[in-house]
Amino acid sequence: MSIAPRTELRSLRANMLLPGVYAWFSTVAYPAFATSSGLARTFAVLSACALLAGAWFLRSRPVVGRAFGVYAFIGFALATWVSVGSGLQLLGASPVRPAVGALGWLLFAFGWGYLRQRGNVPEQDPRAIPGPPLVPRAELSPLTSLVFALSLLGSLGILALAWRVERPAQALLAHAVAAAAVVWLMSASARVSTSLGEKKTLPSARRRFNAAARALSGLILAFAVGSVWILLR
Amino acid sequence: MTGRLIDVLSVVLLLVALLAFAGGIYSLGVAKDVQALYLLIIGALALRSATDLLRPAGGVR
Repeated sequence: MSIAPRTELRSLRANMLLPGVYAWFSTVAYPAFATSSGLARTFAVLSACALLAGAWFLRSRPVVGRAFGVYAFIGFALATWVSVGSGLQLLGASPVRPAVGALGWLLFAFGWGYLRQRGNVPEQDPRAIPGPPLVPRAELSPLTSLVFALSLLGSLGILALAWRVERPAQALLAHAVAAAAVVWLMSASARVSTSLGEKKTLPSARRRFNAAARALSGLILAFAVGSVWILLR
Repeated sequence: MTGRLIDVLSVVLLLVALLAFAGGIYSLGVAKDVQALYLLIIGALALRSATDLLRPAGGVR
C-alpha cells in the first residue's frame, strides 16, 4: 500500500470514497437531516468525517485509515440510526430507497476489499520463496462443477424466496434464516462437491456412515413424524 | 463401490437440504409456519448428514 503510485492511490481512494459517500447519502444523511434530532445530525457528520479521514490516512497509515474508514464510519452510522429512532421509518417509505441503500453498502464493502492488480505476478514479489511449482495431488471430478452450480443457483433461489414473505416479523425471520441457510449450504456444497471421487483422505465407507448415523437417524425420524402428520390431516 | 454410493448419498442429502430450505422459506411466505419450521428442521438435518458423511478419519470416534 505504501509504495502505490499516485494514480493507483487516487483510484484506490475513489473506490473507497465513492461507494461510501453514496451509502452515506442514501441511508445515513437522509434520515438524519430529515428529522430534527441534533444528535443524529452530529453522528451523521462524524460518520462522513470518519470516511474522509479513512481515505486520507490510506497511504501513510493503512491500519489507521481502515479503523477510520470502516469501523468508525460504520460505528457512527449505527449511532445515527439509533439516535434517529422512529425517523428511520422514512427509509422504508418506498421499496426503492432501501434497495438503493443496500446496493451502496454492498459497493462500500467491495471498495475496501483488495484484488490482485492486472499484470501483477505473485511469484515476482521479492518476498516470494522460489521453488518448483506445486502440482495438484488430485483432480476434481467432472460432477464437482455441476453440484456446486446447482447449490449456487438453489441458494440464490432461497434468497429470492425470502423477499416473497410479506408479514413484517416473518419477513425478517425469513431473511435471517435464508442468509444463514445459504452460508451453510455453500460451505457444505463446497466440501461435498470437492470430495466427489476422493479416495485417499476419506475413511472407509462404514466409518463414514457411522459418523453420520446420528444426523441420519434424526432425519429418518423427522420424515416419519412428517408422514404421520400428513396421514392424520 | 460402497464409497461411491455414499458420495451419491451425500449429494442427494445436499439437494434434499436445498429443497427443504427453499420449501421452508416459501411456506413462511404463504403463512404455513408449522410446515416452514418442519421443512427447515429437515433441511438442517439433511445438511448435517451430508457433511458428516465426509468427516475425515481423524474426526471419527
